Amino acid sequence: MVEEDDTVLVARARRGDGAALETLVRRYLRPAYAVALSVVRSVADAEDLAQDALVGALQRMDQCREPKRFARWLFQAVRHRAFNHLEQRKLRAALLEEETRGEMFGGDAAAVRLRRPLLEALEQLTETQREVVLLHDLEEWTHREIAAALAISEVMSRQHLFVSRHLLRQHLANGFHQERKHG
Amino acid sequence: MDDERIDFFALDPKRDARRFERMVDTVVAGARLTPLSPLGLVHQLIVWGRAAVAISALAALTAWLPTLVRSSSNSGQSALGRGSDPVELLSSWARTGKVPAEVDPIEALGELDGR
Repeated sequence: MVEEDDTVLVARARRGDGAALETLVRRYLRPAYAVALSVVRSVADAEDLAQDALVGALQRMDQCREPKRFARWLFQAVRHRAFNHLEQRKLRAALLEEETRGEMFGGDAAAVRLRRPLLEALEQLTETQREVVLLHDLEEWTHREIAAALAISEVMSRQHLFVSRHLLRQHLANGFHQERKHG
Repeated sequence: MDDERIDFFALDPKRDARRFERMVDTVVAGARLTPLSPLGLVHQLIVWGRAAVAISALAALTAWLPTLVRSSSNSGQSALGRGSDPVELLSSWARTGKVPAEVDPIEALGELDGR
């Protein structure tokens, strides 16, 4: 059970246990990225925000009143940073800028080409739907874990996932057909 | 039911394992920049400090209340109850020749001083 482990890990990390700290980073870096990506819809910005938010959260771990809900507390910090980021930069400008960044994934052109339709498809979803589908399909969290971290019910998590997958597939299929039509 | 996962491989930061490891290292190093234990200690000291101040205030109140009650009851028992006119009382002592208690003239004069 993740919650119990988190309580122990947070307690150990608070005492300065480096191994516990690293385990928390490995466990939550990609989920934090998923939450940031849900808000900013930019891979590079989401990576930066996830790292910054995680560093900030780990430095202020004493303010985490419920260590068993570390994920929820962390995600709030990630969202806060992500929304602040959005206020500072217009989303469209950020997306355009990212397209020009060739350094992502070591300049893997195929990944960059695949990323764009996925990001566009994610635009069709609400923020919570994006969080659910990314945490489930990218991070492979269970609905129980997602529900606990996002403060929603497991039923709601399942519904969000179902609707999100349907909308994403629809959008990706339309994009694929249009691409084929235009050669 | 739509049970098949969406392939987010292109968005996955773990796609490039080396790069992801560098990200992990960066975060761990950043988190270690501010030592955790001293922070926790300071926080605990603040928490304990608040509790100590509250307990001290309660102890002071507990010690002070009986003294306050005692002094108010003593003044109630005195021949010079609050609200008596000191001039009239001193005149009555002079008229009757009754020797007042040592404390009474002091209290009466104190009232004249506006205390």
